[in-house]
Amino acid sequence: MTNRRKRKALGLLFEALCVLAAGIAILVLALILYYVFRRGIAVVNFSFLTSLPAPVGVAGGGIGNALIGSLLMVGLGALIAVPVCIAAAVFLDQNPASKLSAFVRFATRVLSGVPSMVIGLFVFGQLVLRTGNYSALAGGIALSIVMAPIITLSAEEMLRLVPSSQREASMALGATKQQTVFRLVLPGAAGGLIVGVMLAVALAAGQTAPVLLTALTSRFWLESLQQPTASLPVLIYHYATSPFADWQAHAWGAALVLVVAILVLNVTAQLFLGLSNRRR
Amino acid sequence: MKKQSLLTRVLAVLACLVTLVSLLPAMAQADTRPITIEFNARELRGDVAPQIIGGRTMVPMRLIFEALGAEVTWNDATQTVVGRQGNVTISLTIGNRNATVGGRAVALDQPAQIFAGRTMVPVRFIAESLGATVEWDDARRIVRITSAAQSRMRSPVTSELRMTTGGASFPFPLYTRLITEYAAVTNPRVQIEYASVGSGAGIRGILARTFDFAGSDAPMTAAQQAQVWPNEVLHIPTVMGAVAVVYNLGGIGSGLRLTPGALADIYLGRVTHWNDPSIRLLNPTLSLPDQRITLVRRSDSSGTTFIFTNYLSKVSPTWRTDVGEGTTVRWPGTTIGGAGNAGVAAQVSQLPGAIGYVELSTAVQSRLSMAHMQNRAGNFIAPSVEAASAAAIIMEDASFMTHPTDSIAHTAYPIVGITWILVYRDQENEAKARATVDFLRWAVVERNLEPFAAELHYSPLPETGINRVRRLLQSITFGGQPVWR
Amino acid sequence: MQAIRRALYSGTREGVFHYVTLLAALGLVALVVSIFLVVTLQSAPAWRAFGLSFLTTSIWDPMANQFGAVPALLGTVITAVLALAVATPLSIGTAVFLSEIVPQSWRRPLSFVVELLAAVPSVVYGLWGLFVLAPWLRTGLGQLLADYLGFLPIFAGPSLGIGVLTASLVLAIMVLPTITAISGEVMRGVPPELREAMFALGATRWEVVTKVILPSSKSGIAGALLLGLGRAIGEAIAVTMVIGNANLIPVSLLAPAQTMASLIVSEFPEAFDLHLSALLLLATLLFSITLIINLIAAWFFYRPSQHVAATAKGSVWAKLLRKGS
Repeated sequence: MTNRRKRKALGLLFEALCVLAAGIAILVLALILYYVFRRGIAVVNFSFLTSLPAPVGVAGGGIGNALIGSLLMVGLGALIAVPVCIAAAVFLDQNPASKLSAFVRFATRVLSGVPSMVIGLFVFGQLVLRTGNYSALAGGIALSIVMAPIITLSAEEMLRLVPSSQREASMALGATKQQTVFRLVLPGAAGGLIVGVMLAVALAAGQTAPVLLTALTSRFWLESLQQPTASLPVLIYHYATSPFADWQAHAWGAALVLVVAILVLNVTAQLFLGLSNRRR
Repeated sequence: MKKQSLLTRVLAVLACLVTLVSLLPAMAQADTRPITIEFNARELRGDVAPQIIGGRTMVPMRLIFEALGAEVTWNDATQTVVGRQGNVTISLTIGNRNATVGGRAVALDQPAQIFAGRTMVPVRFIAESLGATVEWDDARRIVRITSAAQSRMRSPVTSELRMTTGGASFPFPLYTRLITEYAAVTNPRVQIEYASVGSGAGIRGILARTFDFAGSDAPMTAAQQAQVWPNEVLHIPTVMGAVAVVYNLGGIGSGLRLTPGALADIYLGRVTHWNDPSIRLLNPTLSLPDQRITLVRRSDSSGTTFIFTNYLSKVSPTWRTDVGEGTTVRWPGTTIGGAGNAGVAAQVSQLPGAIGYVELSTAVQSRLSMAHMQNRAGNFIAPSVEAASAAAIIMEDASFMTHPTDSIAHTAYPIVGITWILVYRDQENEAKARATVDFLRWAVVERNLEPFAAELHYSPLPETGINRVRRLLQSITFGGQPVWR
Repeated sequence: MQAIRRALYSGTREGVFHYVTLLAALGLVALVVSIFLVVTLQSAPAWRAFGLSFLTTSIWDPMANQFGAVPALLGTVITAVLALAVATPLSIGTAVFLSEIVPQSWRRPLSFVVELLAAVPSVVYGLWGLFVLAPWLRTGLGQLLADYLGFLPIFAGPSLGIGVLTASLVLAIMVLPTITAISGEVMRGVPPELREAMFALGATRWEVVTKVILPSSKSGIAGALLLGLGRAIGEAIAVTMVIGNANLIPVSLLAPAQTMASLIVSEFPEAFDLHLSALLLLATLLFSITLIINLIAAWFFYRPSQHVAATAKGSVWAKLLRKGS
């Protein structure tokens, strides 16, 4: 009898510890979000979002050019990565068992484990040093490499969810493989593909090291893809490690903008996934 | 009949020719090509095109007044236009040749008049009354108006230019201010990016030509200069600055006295607590806590470290033999690194008991307590713009290529460094060469940096230094020709 | 190989389509190979100059061109292991909570909230670590450790707020969602019949988890931990902001130190020649270590295990990838 009570008590203790662990995890997230919101909201307003950074000792200033730079470089990265990665995913989906596919999958997983810093070093050496300038283009390319593994592997997973019965039906009706892919498989998996891209974009938007090494930073408006370009993560990094109170406050403001953007992307992706799952 | 008719015909032809020739000027007058109004090199466009009436170019009143920054009011009852810019008021009445400028009556060739529903005013009269200059380009039918402010503008280049530069973080706050100001006084605009990445990165950037010019607090080594031979990288001094010894001791503000020996002992790890007798003896009035000294240093290679270790090597034989000077050194004690001047200041302000070294501007901006250092004459001197300037009055090196640390001047602060801008002597791009020379001339030689330097706690170069900069700038060439005009 | 041959020999439009997708796939492979080659080649001068002594000496002196990576290597290992030590019980507890305890309807929103932790950019973790966690640790936990356990070498020295402990805690928070999500996925792959059978026999949840769930998903959890380790080792920006960047062999958890990634971040912009090459050698090492860790993790996920459902295995990678890096 005592043995049974002991077992029950142990079981309850265990459950309590698990609840505690989950509570801590959620508490930490809440703490981080709380600080980002509390310190960020104090500086975020329309002019903060639309002005250029101010020199030290000059009041005002904002993150307008960093916001645009981030949007542009992430967009550029997606523009490069999406077609290539979805094509690669189609290849993996069409040739699921080939040895080459296994190798491509392996390489993509390796790429997902490469520290983003190393990707920055690679693009710096291959592009920045060769062209002689830091640029938004180099930043976009570095981000496309960061995005590649997520888009490829999540796209493959999404393509695989299109039932083979439908594909066989399409082929039986005389459609070529290409037609089947374009008319059936890709549209069928579109929701999932978009989710993968959104998550990749959310990840790329928060990258610091690859952008710092390739696009450097800028205090002016973006005028060309060939010039150093500001971005939100680099701005946060520089401002956070500065001793100036107004710059530190701006770092929190920029962090708030970045975190909100990334959370919105994630929540939208999640809702989208729920929606497309339900439809299926 | 035939003869007569021939004569008549000849006469008729002659008459036609004469008429034609006499009409020519009139035809030229009636040139109907549109007129363009350019204001500070940008085209001004209104809803009604400029018209030439009676030999005067007339433009819509709002267009020209607003371009010149004047306020316009329209009095419908008296049919009068009043433009006001600063303390100048211009008043014109429709159809009336008498106008007033600042209360004085002026007679006009052409009065203001209504054309296509708009009030048209003579452009030259308005522009010149408000201090602008007006030129008429007859060939292209352009009225060029240059505002008073714009005529003081600098135009080193013919089209807008952006330059990528970077390096030392020591002068970064000053350079960001200068660059913002310079962009505002150039037309076409010259925008200079200066990334605060450290002197080492600046030197690497100029060698790899990823930077158009670089900032550095440390001169390049002979080996680095050899890489660019037969070209040469010029070191142009811009400002000097004190390196402040900062600390975080709760209630104790600026004014802690330190001797060169005490500072060296602290950084050598020989003095580990703030209440060490050697510090207490120098500061009998302060109640120093029994707190561990946390040493903060630059984690990146930097000119500030160079100035600081250069000073310690001059004043401490142990430092010279055990550690030496350099942009990064092997620190003997346990140290915490901060990236950039800003990073060190951030660490010091975060850590109670910390001591660190940052440029004066950063120290003041981040409200850190600063030590008074004993100089060679034995005086305890607070870091300041004046005390740093004093260090260069007796300059041991006339080429301004070494830091004036441990100066013999009585009022000099002892830890003072120079910061340089590194520029190739022979330039590859003409526009960038002109912009670089003009920027440095504007900033240093024409002393436009001085108000900002004072505000941000840098010390301007003495006269001898400015002369040196002029000579260096005059030696910069593009395609074998000097760029300086 | 077979795929290439097939693509090259079929001259139809199908062939072109196939060829385009093949090219994209090969492009990814070429990218990975060239990243590895380029970084390795650039690090060759440092390898030639120092060889194995790079891994066994501890003097890092750019002025004297002498580079030994021991402090950075140890710093990396210690922070990563410590981060894992903190994150493992938390994340496995959270995973058990999310997959075994919480009602079905709550599972998705709660897992999503935990996964959001992974979406927060590392620079924001650094910002938070530097301005919120570090001051709190300096006066709170760090001060307690220094006061009461200061006689132990690992807690020696003053509580600075930044250093190994802070870096490890930030890393622990950063790897928590990765480990939680993957091990949760693996646990959910355990067939429900096994659980139901145990509960029917009157087992408590503790017993079900320890006797059925954990044993059948242990290789998946090991994989999850390894991937978390890989992330912790590779993290650069957040660590650089809170570790203090001192080139010291980390003995005390309260002292500043350096990891391989933070050393690269703080010195790369300033490095020339051999110094640069030495940093790239660190990058090569970092790349190789994460590669090996990923390989072992992959082996854990893919080795035959009757209880891990195939779907769980397949989606683990895609799931993991969404967890950020």
